[in-house]
Amino acid sequence: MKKQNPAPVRMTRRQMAGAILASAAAAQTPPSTPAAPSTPAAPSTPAAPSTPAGELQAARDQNQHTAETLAKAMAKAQVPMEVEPAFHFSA
Amino acid sequence: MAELGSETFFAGIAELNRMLRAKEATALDLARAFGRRLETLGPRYNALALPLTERAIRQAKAVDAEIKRGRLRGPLQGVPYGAKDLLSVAGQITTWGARPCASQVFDYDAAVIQKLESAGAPLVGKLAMVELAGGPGYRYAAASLTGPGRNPWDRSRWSGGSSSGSAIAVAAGLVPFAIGSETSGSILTPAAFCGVTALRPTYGLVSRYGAMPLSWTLDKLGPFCHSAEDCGLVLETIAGGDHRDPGSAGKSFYYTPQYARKMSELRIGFAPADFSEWPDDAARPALQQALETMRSLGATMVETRLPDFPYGPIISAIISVDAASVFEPLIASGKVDELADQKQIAGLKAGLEIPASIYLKAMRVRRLAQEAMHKLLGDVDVLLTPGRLGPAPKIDEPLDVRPDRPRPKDAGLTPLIPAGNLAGMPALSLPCGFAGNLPVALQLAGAPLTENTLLAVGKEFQSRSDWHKRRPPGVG
Repeated sequence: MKKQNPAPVRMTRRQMAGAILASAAAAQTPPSTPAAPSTPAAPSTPAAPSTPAGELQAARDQNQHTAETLAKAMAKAQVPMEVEPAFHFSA
Repeated sequence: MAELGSETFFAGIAELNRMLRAKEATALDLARAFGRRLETLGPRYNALALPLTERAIRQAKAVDAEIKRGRLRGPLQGVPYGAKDLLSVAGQITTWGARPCASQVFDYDAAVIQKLESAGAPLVGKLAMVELAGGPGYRYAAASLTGPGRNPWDRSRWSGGSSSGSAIAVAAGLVPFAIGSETSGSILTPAAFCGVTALRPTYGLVSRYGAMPLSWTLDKLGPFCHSAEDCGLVLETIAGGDHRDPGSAGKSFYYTPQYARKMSELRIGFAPADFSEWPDDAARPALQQALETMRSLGATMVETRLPDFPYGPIISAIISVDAASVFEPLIASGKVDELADQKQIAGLKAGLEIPASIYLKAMRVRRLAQEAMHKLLGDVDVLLTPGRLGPAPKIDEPLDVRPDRPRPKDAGLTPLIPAGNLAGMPALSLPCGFAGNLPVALQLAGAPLTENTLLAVGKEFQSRSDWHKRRPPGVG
């Protein structure tokens, strides 16, 4: 049975997303692998959401944060239009 | 029936092969002994998904008959193994580690199962895994149908995931080798935490036909073994083109240590901060000592760093969308709620909502990141970094807790797991010491299709250390 921390922690969704992002940065990569240098550092680790609705909102917030980070990366790299997505990916 | 000593359970593939040829043991002896051991000790670590001892015994009898007739197939002939429970085996339950799939049965064998059967290797069991190979992320080690993978070095610690059972089974001497999978870290992490040698092959080198998909442009299958040399032998058997896998590179692999480049010709890239600033206090001495051993091999050590890309968010977006698409029927049916980990359930549901524009951004930035990584690997042959920055966490510890200490400014090569997976690079995990009673490891990564170089460095490192030969307590 999964354990959850019931202690309430006040935190904005953005803070929550920033904190969770690092752990979810690589979906299968467990803790202690840091995120990429351009990824904002997690301020601290919040308590896990205690309800399914809270989890879903945290996941959505994380996706939003990911989207913003990718948009910044696109802008920074000034990606040329001819750069195609890596669909036909071969190593 | 030959009496097998405890050293047999930790013997390398070459030694087992020698025993078979010298008639010191039969394939049947090995299949029975490893099968029973896996059935007896596997549950102690939550490593076993499905015992297949009787099936292995049938295979082994056929192998013995072949050996008797003088038909020798290669080094894996008669050597038992285990496979992560995301690989289909015809007529057997394949759970993907997930409760909603607990009774799932396929009517065909995965390509790697076919190849290993052709090589004469008896399959003694399906091995436990994190549910759906971790999906878009999970919070607890207990995110598995079989419970949390328990580390053979300390059962109160996690084995790592998602290839939990594969790493545990090799570390505890329950199988001579095992097959696992990696999308981003699922081979390297459990290998590091359990102190076994493991290889994540180049993307497309090993067919994924019959394996559960998680992310089509990231999924890879690879071996867990007792040494780098064994990884080479297994990879040679399971690699190869396959028209049934759209991601197949159409390449074979030949393990050729005899043609390995001299260490003095190699350039190994590393970042000092990875060894001095990033590791936790308990792991730092072992990692620094391992760096010195690596220096002693004679290669040119070059300070380097990864190109600056948001590797984490890129891979997170790709896996989230792919996994949500793969498991959309599970989500739509509501069965997704039967998964053990609330974070994974939420991540799968939220993944369906990610817009195509975000996915395309991730895939386009990925293209640039790949090019930058390949350019970096024009300057160095191998990238070297700690496998993990600390030892295995406690079994009930939330996995998304981050160390409460300042992050070093120099990122070094620390995002190498997501970066290497995004670029399709091979990587080798080498046990390199201990933090207290728990193993720590090095990660070597190289350009696509340079497995022989990584294995040569790994073999040289293991000729100068014995970390890969250490046995966990209480396993004989």
